[in-house]
Amino acid sequence: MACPACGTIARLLRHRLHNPSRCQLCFARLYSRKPFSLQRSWAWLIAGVIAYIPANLYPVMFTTVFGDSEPNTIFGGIMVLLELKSYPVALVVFVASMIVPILKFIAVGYLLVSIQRKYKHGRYDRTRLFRLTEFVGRWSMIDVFVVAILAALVQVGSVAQIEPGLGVAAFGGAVIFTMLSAISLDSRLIWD
Amino acid sequence: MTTRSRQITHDRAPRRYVESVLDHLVACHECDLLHDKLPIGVGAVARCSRCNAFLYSNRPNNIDRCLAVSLASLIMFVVANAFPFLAISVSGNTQSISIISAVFALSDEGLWLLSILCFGFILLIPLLRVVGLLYILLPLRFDRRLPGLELVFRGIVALSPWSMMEIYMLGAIVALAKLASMASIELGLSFWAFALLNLLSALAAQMVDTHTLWDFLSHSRGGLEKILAGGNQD
Repeated sequence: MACPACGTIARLLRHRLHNPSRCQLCFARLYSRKPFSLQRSWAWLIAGVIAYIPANLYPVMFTTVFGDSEPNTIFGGIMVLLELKSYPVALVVFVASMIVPILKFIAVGYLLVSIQRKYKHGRYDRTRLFRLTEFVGRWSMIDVFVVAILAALVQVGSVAQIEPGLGVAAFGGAVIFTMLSAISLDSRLIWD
Repeated sequence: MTTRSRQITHDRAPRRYVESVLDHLVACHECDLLHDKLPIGVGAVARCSRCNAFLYSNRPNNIDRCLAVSLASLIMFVVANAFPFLAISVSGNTQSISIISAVFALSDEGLWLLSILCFGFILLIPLLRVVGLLYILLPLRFDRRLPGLELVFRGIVALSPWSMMEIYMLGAIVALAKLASMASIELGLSFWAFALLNLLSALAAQMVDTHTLWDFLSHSRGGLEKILAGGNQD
């Protein structure tokens, strides 16, 4: 087996979960596969799906212009961008905050089911799917940063104010949970 | 083997160990297929024959370039955080923010957890990674090793998905697109420094080949010639 951190090859005779051997080079704990990979991945995935619901229902921010306060949801934010005719930016936000999270739920769920059912076909494609999910997942955080930057920037006295809402916390949670789900998933299980 | 690992668990790993056969093997970190570690040409990349994952590469004078980029990153990091990031003005009222203001905007509304996480994602973790890399590379350049090097390097690799500066940059651009029609916007010095910092960190990510670096680290002292000559010439 290979050390997960540095790739040094070590031979493992017994799989000891509670007192794992350590890598001789980098001293990382040695496991043949990430422990409880599927359980952890499922748990984070479910947490992510649950957090994604309030993320879309609650407003991510409140815009106050001349005293009129208006709640904005993620979807509403995309509509605003479309009205402003900034189509490329609208597309980026739409992909990062709507398409990517949903596709990620489906992709990780499919990978987990395929590992548990021990599918033999399409291993290479599934590894590529895993790589893709791992790579794009973090980009969903963009919406959280947009809200944070807007809230910091738009504080111009009585003229206009933006305040972050609960939705953004739920959304950030959903993104972080799905990232953890992908990280917990051991891609080597696809090939076992 | 078991006895050996157990012994090592207790008295910390000896720096130098040569496991003749195992040293010449490399396992794919994504599908666990074992490959013979073959010497490859300068600039070449070895990939897994089964799942095409990156295995190792051979880049000449890796360490000097990494050091240069890391030092430049550190300077840009300081500049990016010392000056105004963005400023807007609406009907005579101006508001100027720095990078960290976004973190405070979240904590002001009581979103503490998210605010702490964002602080980590855009400031603390990127900084830790740059400093950590310098902690490893700078002494290594002079053929010395500081304690805890393995732990630091493992930390750098583990933290890499949580460094989100480039996402923050794109977030700033989206925020500007939203405001462009209703306010006049000014990009601060720190905006450009931050953009440069992102380019540098993308460059660093291209250069740091974890496998090659671990190889260097496993050949402790006297490995400098090998490091400067570059890559996997076992």
